[in-house]
Amino acid sequence: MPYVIAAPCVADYSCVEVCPVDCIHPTPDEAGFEQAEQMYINPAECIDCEACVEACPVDAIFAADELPERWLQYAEINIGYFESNGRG
Amino acid sequence: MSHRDAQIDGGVSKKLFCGICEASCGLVATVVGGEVVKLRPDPEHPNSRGFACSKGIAFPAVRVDPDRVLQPLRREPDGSFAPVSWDVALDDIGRRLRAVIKSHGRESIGVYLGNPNGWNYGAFLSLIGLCAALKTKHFYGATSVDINNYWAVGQLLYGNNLANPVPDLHRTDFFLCIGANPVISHGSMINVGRVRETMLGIVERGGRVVVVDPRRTETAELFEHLPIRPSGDVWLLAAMLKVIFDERLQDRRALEQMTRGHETLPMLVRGIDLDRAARETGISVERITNLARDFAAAPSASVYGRCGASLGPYATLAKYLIDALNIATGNLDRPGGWCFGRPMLDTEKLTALLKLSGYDRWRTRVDGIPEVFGTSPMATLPREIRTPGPGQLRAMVIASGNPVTSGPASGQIEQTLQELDLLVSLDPYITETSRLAHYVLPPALWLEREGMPIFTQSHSAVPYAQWVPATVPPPKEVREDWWIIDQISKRIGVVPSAAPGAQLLGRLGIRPKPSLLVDMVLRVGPEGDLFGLRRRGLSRKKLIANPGGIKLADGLPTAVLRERVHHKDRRVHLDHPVITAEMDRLLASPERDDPDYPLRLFSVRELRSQNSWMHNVPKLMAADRVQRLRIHPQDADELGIDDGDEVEIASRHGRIIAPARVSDEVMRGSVGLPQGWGHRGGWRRAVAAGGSTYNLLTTNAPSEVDVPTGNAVFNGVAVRVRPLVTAKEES
Repeated sequence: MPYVIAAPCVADYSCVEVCPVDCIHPTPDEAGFEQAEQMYINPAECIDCEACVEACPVDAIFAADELPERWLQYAEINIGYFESNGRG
Repeated sequence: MSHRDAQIDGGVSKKLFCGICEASCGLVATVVGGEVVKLRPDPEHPNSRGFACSKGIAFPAVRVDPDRVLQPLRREPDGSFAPVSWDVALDDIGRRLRAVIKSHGRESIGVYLGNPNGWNYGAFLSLIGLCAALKTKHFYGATSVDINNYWAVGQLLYGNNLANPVPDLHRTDFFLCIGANPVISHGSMINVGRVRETMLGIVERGGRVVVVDPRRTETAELFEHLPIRPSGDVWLLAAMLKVIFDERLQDRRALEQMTRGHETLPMLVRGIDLDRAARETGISVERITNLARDFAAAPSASVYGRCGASLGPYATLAKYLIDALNIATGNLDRPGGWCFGRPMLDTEKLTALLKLSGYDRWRTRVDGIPEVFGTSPMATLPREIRTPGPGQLRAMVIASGNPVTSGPASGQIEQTLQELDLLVSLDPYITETSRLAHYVLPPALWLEREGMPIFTQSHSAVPYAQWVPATVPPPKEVREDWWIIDQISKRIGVVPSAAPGAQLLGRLGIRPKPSLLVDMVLRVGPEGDLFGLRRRGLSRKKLIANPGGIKLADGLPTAVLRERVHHKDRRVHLDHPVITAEMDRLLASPERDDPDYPLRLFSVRELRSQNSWMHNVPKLMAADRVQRLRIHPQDADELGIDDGDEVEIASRHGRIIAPARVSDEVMRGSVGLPQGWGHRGGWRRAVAAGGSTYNLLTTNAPSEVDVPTGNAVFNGVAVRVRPLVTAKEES
């Protein structure tokens, strides 16, 4: 069950720094980082290590099956980012 | 989470609020051994409700920044800085100020109040107090960049500079957002927690949000985007008001009950030609008309405009029209409309008591620009330094200010500051401004001093009160601003206080701290404890015992107009010769753009920048961020510019260089550039980030700034852009 970044994200990218498999984007050297309002986890690459949950300063990351009700749509939003960026 | 953090780190959790921007988000600090190891959003804060942004979370890095100034510095003849003791610095500053007073008078000393003082009530009141004690008109501030228009209209319409209604976003059916990007800025002159979610909520409950901006901003992307030519906002607002009166859509009852002089409103906009408005805005007559009709028809609506609407040559008129539209459609003081806040501290009464609030009680010495809130605009600063005569500006104290970057015609500011007999800067960094100072004095940061959000508390969507103790002590040789200002004042025989009787008390040796005055005003104010008579009321002591803040109400009050308008008749005053004159000036302005400078420049706000600072924080400068000029693909194509090319941006006043970002996020004919880049001085990462000074392109000519207030004009600046290679070959 992959992890999902939800609405509280402030694009602080602490998660990007700790991710052992580099599955969180956009990274600071990718296009779109400057405008990114939030980061996204690629569910196809996530290894469920939970490192990002610990690193997140704003408690924005949840296991997909533990997403709070009001942020359920963020599972799709995370997937959508990679589909629209051709990274899926 | 905070409980677990405390265990892991062996630290203590302390609540406070962020002192970087107007959102003033509630934070929880984890403190270990006198160090703030982390800052996190406070989920229990009444207004921000667990929101904070990357800037606030990264702020502990400023505290321990290796480039931070940690002791008083004296500039040596070779331009380098040498550490000196506080006594040496303050005594020499006192001696030199006394010499200035002796030869030029007290009124030749000036003060500059930078934006961060909005979260520093001690500095704010002491700086005002110093100006009052000196009886100087040389009181400058960041307010004359983008907010003098608010202050002037607040005084004219409601009788106090700080009487500024806010849009009731939690209840509105229609939010018209002009020249603002709250998703990135997190709000200015509004303080709405979780502003992005709150705005999305308007649409979710069936309402509309229309974002008017030359750029498809991060906010515009989420809602209906109506692109507008830079500086076209005043035409849009005037045209909308004209449609409303022409089609008799106004709320007559509201106008008659709430205002005086409303019969002049239709006359004011009578001369507006909708076809010209369409050309000036780039928005068709049909869309303008429909927007006006929809706005008037909405059960509740509010139009709000911020920097985009405040940085043009008719900023005061634009702000007046914003209020007029809200008032004429019956939206003032009603749920979902344009509402007064419920401040914990009555800053309107306080500034009236200190004789600060006002407009056009005097005019500036050189240019004759009306004062606003007891201040002179930055536009006139270089001429006040250079023009001889009584009252010539000869010495200055700059507190948390960086006018060499942030002021209009900044090249002139940089030159003339160096001609002063004495320049003192209170700043945590050697910036492009403070490097020109004879002394740089290190102030405590917001984590290191007591705090009360004196400026933003009036604009909170959820009214609350907060007053926090210092989270950690300041470094050994760092002092609070109010103390520094008091020490300087002592050495020239004044008390830095505008309170009645303060100078007399000073002669008796009594110099109350700013916290005493604020506590008194709080305690006798509408939310105060009346020194025990009102048990549930507030005092500094009670708030400091509850540093997470106390909620005062669930939302903005309504039907409070008669209590909140300061005019004697308790009505909103709409008839003002200065507004009529501005409309005449607008209608008489030439329509044609300068063919030599065919593009219109506007400023862009970025998530990880804050005005002219925060560029020295590693976390906020990831990926080697640089300043980029946004230009539309078709404009870029015509000019032979590819994405990433270095381009020259030239106005009639100067030229700078920036790499281009070719993007259809900006509308054709306009180019967008972030401000606050191009640093110099001792903040090495900020300097290394490069970029250019936006304000080398702007002017301070009194006829070209906002005439009624001297407010700067940074948007709609006529420029031409060309690839640098071509520029080099030709020059």
